[in-house]
Amino acid sequence: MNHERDEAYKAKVGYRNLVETIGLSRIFGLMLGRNQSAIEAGYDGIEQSDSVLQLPGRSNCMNWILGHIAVYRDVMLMSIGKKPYVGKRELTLYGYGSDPIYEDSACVDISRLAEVLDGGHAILSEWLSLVGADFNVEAPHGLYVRKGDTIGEHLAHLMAHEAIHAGELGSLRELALVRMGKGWK
Amino acid sequence: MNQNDIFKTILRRNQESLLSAIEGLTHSEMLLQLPGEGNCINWILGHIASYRDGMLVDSGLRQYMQADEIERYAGGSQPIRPGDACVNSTRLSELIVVSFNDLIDWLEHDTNGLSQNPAGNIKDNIGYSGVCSTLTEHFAQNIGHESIHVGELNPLHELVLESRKR
Repeated sequence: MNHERDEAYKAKVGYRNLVETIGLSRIFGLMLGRNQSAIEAGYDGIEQSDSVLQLPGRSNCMNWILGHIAVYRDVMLMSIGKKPYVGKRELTLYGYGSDPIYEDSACVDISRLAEVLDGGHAILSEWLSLVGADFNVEAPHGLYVRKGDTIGEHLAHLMAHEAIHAGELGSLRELALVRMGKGWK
Repeated sequence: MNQNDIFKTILRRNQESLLSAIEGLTHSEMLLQLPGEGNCINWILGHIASYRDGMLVDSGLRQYMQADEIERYAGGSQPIRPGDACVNSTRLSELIVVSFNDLIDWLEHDTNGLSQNPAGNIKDNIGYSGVCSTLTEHFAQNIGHESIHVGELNPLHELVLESRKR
C-alpha cells in the first residue's frame, strides 16, 4: 500500500516537474523570439558603414551591440552543450568592457554578425522546443560568463541582458535612417 | 528555479537598469529626443508603467494608472515632445516603483498564482500579443517587451549627460 502511495506521489511530482519544465521552455522561447525579432528589426537594411555610426555620449554603435549579443548568445549555446559560432577575436572585440568600435576600428562585418545571431537563435529555439530540457541542472563552469547556479537562472539573466541590448538598437537604427535620408529629422 | 523565479530575476534586472538610467534626471530632460522617430524617456516610462498595470490586472491586483494615462502611452501612440500633454515624469517614476513592488510581492508570495487564469478577457488586457492565452505567457510577453524598452533608455540617458555639458 505504501509502495503504491509512493509511486503515485512520484508520478504526481514527475508530472508537476514536467509541467514546470514546459512552462519554463515556453517562457524562454517567447523571450528569445521577441529578442530575435527586435534584433532583426534593428539591423534590417543597415549596411556595414551605417552599423558603426555613433550616438551622442558613451553609447556603443550597432556593430558593437550585435557582436556583444552574439558573444553572449554563444555563451547560451555552450551552456546547453552546443558549439559556439565565434572565437577569441570576437571575444576580444565584443566582450564585456571591450573598446568601442568606430568607423576605422577592426570589427566583424554586420552581415556575418547577422548570420551568427540567426544561427544561434535557430539552435536555441530548437533546444527550447524539446520536452527534455532540464533547467534545474547546474550551469557549467568555465563559461565566459556564468550568471546563475542553474541553467534556468543563468538563461534568465542572459535573456534579459540580450533584451536590454536589443532595445539599444532602436535609436541606432533611427540614426542610420536619418543618415540615409529616410528619417524625419 | 520555477516560473516565478524567472520572472522575478528578469523584473529585478529591468528595474535596476531602469532606475539607473533615470536617476537624477529632471522632467524636461526626460523629454529630450534623439535623431529619428524614437521615443523620449517620458514616453518609455509611461509605456512600461502601463504594461506593468496590465500584469497587475491580469493577476487580479489593483492597477495604478488612469484610463487616459494608459491611452497616452499605449503602443503606437504619438511621441511626446516638449510642450505636449503628458504625465509628469515624477509620477511615472513613482508608478514604476509601486508596480514593481506589487509584482515582486505577488510573485514571491502567490506561488501558484501563475497557474490561474488571467483576470478578465486576456484579449482585452494590456500587452495581449495574439500569441498568449495563459498568465505565464502574458507575463513572458510583457516582461520581455519591458526589457527591450528598458534598453532604449540607455542612449537617452547618455543624451541627457551630453546636453548638460553644453
